[in-house]
Amino acid sequence: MNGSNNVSRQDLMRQIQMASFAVKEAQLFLDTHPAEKEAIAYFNRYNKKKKELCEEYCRRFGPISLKNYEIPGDTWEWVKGPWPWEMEE
Amino acid sequence: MWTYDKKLQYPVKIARPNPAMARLIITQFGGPDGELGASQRYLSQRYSMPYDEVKATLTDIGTEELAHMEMICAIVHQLTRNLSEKQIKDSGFDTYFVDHTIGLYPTSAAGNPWTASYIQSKGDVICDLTEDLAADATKRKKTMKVSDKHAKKLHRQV
Repeated sequence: MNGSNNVSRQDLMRQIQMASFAVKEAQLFLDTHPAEKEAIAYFNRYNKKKKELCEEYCRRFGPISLKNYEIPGDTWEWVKGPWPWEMEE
Repeated sequence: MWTYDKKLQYPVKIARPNPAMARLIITQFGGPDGELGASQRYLSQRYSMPYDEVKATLTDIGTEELAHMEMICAIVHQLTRNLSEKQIKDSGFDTYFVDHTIGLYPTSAAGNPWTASYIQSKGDVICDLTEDLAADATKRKKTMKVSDKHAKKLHRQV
């Protein structure tokens, strides 16, 4: 799961989805085990990974989330497709 | 409050449309054991929960069900792209199409619209968590019941 500028949009999205899944599972586990050290470390590791990947994606292909988003140019890129449910040709 | 992430939880990429399959899969959106009901069940029950761990779990699981709903809708949407009139008629999708065309409407496979009677919220921790256990079991049961090979594959991915 290494981000780099050579990674395609789709591959980068797959990496984000993998990291997000790990974060989500850790989150649900921590909800009922809030003091589990191993899970806390796991959460932190993948949440950092997810953040870095999302930042790279946002820079190259537009925002996934508007949290901490600053419009880089003079276009509101959020409206730009493909939207997640649309199959890419 | 909620915010939207512009991504699917898991990729959905269906090359060949299949309206007959869409008619079955749509029940996982708006049917009795679907994701819409699941999300509303957990997100409604959380307010009366007496324990922080359970409040957190219901909040986060309820939120995740919304992401599941989006994947199911993406599946149905992609299964019903570019249909010919013949495909619509021959597949039996015509009974859905006459009311909704290719719009996503929360319904069961048999065509019953989603209803809050699919869920329960009693303000009692044992009662509600028991309902949640039963709801979780129905999903596994249904996955086994869908006999079509392709559907099995889809369900595994969901």
